[in-house]
Amino acid sequence: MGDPFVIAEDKALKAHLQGIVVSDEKSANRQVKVWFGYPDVEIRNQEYPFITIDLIDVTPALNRQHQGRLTDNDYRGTSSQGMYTYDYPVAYDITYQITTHARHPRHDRALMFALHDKFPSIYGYLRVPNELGTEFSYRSTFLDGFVKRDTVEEDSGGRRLLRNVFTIRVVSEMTPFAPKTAVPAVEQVDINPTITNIPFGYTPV
Amino acid sequence: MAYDAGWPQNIVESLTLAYSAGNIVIEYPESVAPVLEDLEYGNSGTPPNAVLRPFTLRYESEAAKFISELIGEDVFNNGGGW
Repeated sequence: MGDPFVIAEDKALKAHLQGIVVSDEKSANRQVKVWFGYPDVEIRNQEYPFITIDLIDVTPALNRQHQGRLTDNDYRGTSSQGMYTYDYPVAYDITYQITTHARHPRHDRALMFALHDKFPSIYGYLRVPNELGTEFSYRSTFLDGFVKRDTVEEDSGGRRLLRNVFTIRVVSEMTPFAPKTAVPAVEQVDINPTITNIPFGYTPV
Repeated sequence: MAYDAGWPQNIVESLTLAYSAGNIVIEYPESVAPVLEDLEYGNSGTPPNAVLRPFTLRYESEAAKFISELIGEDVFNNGGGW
């Protein structure tokens, strides 16, 4: 089983950003890593430059929402019953903030170009696998905003942090069946009646 | 939305909406801009807690239409003057 709504877009976006390389006087091929969220210094090294992905909004896309049911009756083996109907998927816009972080001005400009190339203002797209992992769909992406957010970090000796912030909107759909199955109802709760001889590391309930 | 997102009270209270050339724009004093923009876009170590962009995506068109109708109605009621 593949990835469902939002998770599929997350992974597709990360995959789309892989393979960006920048160069400078010390290294001709410096791979740019991609993280979900800002790297936690206690977990991993902050090796500049890098790119972060933050999900900032999921909005119902009512302007392109259809209503009703679709009927498939082509009798071409797509269904054992010969005909079946299903609801129109629910349209959503998923908005991400993609941020590039660099110390070197050349890296900053190279990343700015790379991301404008990957997310053009029009005709942008993202290759997203379906939930079964059998097919792909190409989702339109829109560059909703771009701002420079360069700062000087006082706590790191006045070093520059060059940041480009891209606001990217990815069109998406969720089948009405998905929310019904996303959080299955709890039907049975098993409680261990044992309150003695609890193994080390476990807590009696 | 800003309040629900946990933005500081003084920042929330500094936000105002204005109608300009058919669009709703969010205005705020220059003095709160650095803090507000750090909240919106994040900074080195803090993730974005975006409010302005989701607001614009969700409400701009509907709110602009609503205000446009209000102004139109007011113009009509005042005999063409406003």
